[in-house]
Amino acid sequence: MPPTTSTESTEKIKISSNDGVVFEIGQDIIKQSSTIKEMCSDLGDLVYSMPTPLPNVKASILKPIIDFCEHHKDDQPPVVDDDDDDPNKDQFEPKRSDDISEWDQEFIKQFTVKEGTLFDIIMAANYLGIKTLLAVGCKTIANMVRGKASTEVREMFNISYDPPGQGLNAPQTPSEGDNSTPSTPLPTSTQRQSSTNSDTNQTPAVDPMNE
Amino acid sequence: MDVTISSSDCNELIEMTLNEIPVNKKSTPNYEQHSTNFLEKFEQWTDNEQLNIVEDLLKRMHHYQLGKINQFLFPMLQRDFIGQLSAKGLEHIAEKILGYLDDKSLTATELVCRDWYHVVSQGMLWKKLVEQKVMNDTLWHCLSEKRGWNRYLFRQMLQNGETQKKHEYYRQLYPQICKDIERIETNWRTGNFTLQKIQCRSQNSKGVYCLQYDDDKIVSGLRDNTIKIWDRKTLECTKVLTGHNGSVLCLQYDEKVIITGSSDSTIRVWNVKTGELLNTLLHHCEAVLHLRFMDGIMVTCSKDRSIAVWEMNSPTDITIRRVLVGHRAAVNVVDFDDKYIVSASGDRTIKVWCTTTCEFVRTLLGHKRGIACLQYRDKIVVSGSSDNTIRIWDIDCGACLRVLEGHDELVRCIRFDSKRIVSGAYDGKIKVWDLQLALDPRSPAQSLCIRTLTEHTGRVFRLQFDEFQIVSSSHDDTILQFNFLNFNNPDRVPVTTAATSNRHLSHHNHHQPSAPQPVSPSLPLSSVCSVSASNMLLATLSSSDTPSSNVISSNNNLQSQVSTTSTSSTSSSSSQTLTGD
Repeated sequence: MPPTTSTESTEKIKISSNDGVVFEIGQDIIKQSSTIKEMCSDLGDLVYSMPTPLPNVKASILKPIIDFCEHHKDDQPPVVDDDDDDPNKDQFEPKRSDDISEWDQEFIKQFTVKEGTLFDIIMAANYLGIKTLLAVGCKTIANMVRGKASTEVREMFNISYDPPGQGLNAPQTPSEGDNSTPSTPLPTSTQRQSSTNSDTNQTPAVDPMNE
Repeated sequence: MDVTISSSDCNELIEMTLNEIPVNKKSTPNYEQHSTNFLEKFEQWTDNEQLNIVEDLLKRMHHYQLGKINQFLFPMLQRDFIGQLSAKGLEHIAEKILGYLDDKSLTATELVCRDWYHVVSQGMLWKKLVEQKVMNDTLWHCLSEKRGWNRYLFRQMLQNGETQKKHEYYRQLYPQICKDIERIETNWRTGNFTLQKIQCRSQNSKGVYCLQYDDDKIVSGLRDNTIKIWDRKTLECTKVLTGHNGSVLCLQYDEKVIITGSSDSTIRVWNVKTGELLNTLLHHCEAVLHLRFMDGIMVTCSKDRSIAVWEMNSPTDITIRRVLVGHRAAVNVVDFDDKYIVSASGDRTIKVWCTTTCEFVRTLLGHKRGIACLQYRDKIVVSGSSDNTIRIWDIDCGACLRVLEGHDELVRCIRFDSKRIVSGAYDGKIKVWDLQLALDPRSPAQSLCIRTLTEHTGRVFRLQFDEFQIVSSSHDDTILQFNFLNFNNPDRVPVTTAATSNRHLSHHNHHQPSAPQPVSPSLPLSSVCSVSASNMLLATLSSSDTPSSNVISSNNNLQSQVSTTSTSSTSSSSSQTLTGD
């Protein structure tokens, strides 16, 4: 008899990719995917009787994702909700992308820009609501972009570029638009140099310090 | 042949082409018309239908055609993440990716293409970058407050009539901040500062032994036995605290109390807001040379060679926990954190003690003469000595990491932060040193002293500094403020006239000559009259801009009148900045 609350259950459920491959996963993987978790609570006991379809993920991506979750099943759930939806939220943690663990680095290497699989992983991680995997994917791409000139970035992602003003793809030159400058004035006051040598004409005076 | 193509005719058309296989095909008449119709139909089909037809089409083409197709197919398959994500309405992921970038990379990504540019601006990524810097870098944080652009960060605090800042604002702001920081750094290196001078006008015994400042006030301890509190904006003395029977040699304050040590051997605790004397601690047998307190613990040291560790439960409940002995001469300075207490003495040694157990840990040896000043923070101890040198030590292993030479006389006061060491000496000189370079053993010795400031005309007894300023006090009875921010605030009372081309020390104009200074309600009635009388006297004299000794003596008479007891005393003497070379 399947228990009523899925969070306490130790039962496995089946999920299927959009190309028909079925996988069996346990609670420790389910809890890492907010989407699957939600599906379980929505479908109730049905999840135990038939595979839950994931129409947006194909098997060649779903399988490695399950491996990723398997490896991370004992991780602490993230304390601070890394929430990019609210543009006004205070950012307290420094945004680092050099802190991907070795295992994760090796994992993500199997997916490339060229074959489009890296993109697939990120899309799948987003769809499935697996924040850790999404972060790894995003950081990986950020690391590819970092330090590169714009021409190198275009080459890497094969982005067509027409010279400014001539093509559909060209960015507006940054000087267009709002011309506001910061309203608090930056320093303009005249300054003085310190090179005056003043006379020292003191008589030696009392100093409670021992010499 | 004039054929109107319908959906079912398409297949027919293709079959006709197959069956006929003409060797030399002629261009199709009305090709444009046909292809447009065909494409319109094509767009209406399902994905699978489209895939099927394309597959069939491809099978009917020859190798050369397929090669051409591959040429324009391959680039289409390359993934432009940002473009793709934007197209799918997943800009927030695109923003997340680019949000990891530093400023240089972000500038490059903006120039990649329009889509990428849009992600950066829509995601307000420049704003986020500034916010991150402000949260993680003290210099950015302090600068944001000083310059005021912090109110445009996070949840923007707008003033009257202001509108929300858009992303272009932050794109310009970031490099402007970087320039600002560079400029300040250059000011430090070239000795480019605005100087503000406070004349303390001590009566008989001149000299200011100790000080501490914040944004609003400077609290100073003087050789004339008083504590004087100065307003940062007006440079006026707002309070005089009396009670000590000897020079005030050391002090520290927090949001509640000022604690002072004196050559009268006592330690006194005062209310920082009202100036009321709260407690007098009698323990040391000789002058109390230095004190530090933090988190309910206070450590004091004395000419009597001992160090006392106190527990502070409240301003009126302070008891001795331990007395540390071991030094063979006066203990001139002490500092501590939750790990170690560090003391330095005329006996040429620095001693390290465990804070929790008060057990002695080790001695740092190296200075050739007595040590006059010291600061300890994180793992680093910086000390200044009568041997004219400064030493940097690692506290855990006791090793001396660097010896800084350059001062010509006794190094009397010293402070450091993450970037710089600032030291003051007996000859009145203040030196600024590069701490990071000094910690690197490869740096040549000549490169370490960034600047020498020679504004004081007497021994520099105490200094404190931060990213933007140095405040120092001296035997020459002045307190100097070196401002490297060169902040030009039109709202402020103009007390400095650094704008003059005069290379000499700034002349500070006495302001508001006609209005009598506000008087604290706690003053007894008789002194109230004296205060306003004195102020009016000062007012008439200063309007003719001739400072005279009459003014000085009447002012000082006033001060000795105002406080003879240890109760709170305020003296609203006017700006102590008339020139006196």
